[in-house]
Amino acid sequence: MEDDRRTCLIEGVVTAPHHLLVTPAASVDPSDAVVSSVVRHLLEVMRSTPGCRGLTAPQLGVGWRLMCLDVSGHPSTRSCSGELVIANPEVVEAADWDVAREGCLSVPGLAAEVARATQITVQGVRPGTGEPMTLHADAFEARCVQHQIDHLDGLLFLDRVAGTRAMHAVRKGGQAA
Amino acid sequence: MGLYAVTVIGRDRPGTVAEVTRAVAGGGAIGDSSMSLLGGHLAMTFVVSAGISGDLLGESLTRGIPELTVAVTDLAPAPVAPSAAPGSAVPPVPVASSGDLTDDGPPGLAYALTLHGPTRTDVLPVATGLLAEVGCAVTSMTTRVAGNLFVLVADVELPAQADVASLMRAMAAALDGFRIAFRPADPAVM
Repeated sequence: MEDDRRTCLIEGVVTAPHHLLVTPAASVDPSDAVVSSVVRHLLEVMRSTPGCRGLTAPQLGVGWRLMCLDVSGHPSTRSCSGELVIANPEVVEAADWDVAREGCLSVPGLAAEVARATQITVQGVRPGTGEPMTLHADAFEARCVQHQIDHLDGLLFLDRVAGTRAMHAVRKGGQAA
Repeated sequence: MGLYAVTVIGRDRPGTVAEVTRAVAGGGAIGDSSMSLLGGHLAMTFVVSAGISGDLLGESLTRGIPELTVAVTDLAPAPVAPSAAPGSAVPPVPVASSGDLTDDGPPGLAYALTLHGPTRTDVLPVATGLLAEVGCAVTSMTTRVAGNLFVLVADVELPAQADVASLMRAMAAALDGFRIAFRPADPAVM
């Protein structure tokens, strides 16, 4: 981790075009106290942003592999881990792809149909303790996790648009994942 | 029987699409069509087979949807289409020929191109110019602008001998700050 990255934490959410949204994020030391403070900020922003189901550190101006999500209450949710924070997540298994429309806080005004695995296994560590964790997710939770991990890999849903007819303008507030 | 491209552009409001399609269908048989909202304006394009001249079709449509701008282009010559039953007043639906996009030669490589980055006035001509330089056919394209973000998604067909990596490098050099990706887009035949 580089100290200069820690100073980039911003209020609000970074929107495209922005270099952090197209740059792979760096792995973090989960026991680092600064990581914990970024996690707190991630959760605060996710909880206070209507419709926000997940968020990553790069979206807050920090190029670290940290993500949070909470798909509770979404109509497409099947598996639901509640509010969850993962450091250094990696998808280790994926199966059964499906196409669905998604949007992003960092790409306001656009949505697109994107193919994602509907069943995934993700491994990572818990911030703070560094305890290894494995997440099995399906349906909307799986989509949300993959969307967030894409952010950590410097990818936007725009990089996975299913076709020329699959990109749509949306009104403000019409966002997902 | 003539074959025409009909374009209709104008302010969008509830019911406009229905009015347009009703008017166009009243003038001939609709084949391929597309509809988009471009900057809040309705833009529709139809391929229409009609038993009247393009001028008459245009006049008819202008009377039917006076608030919208209509243009009719004569497409030469109409492809062979199933003939209507004797005595039927319904013109045959235009059918695209299999040679519409490509002629002889080896089949091309289908790719989906996605490109996004800061809004610039020259993105489209630069990107499509580079595609044209390598003999790439653009079969479908959508662009969107959201704030300062410009996004392009295109279905393209590259010549079989094209060097995709070189094309990507050329695009990356010409469009600094843009994320550019080519993904194979050959459909799985099942």
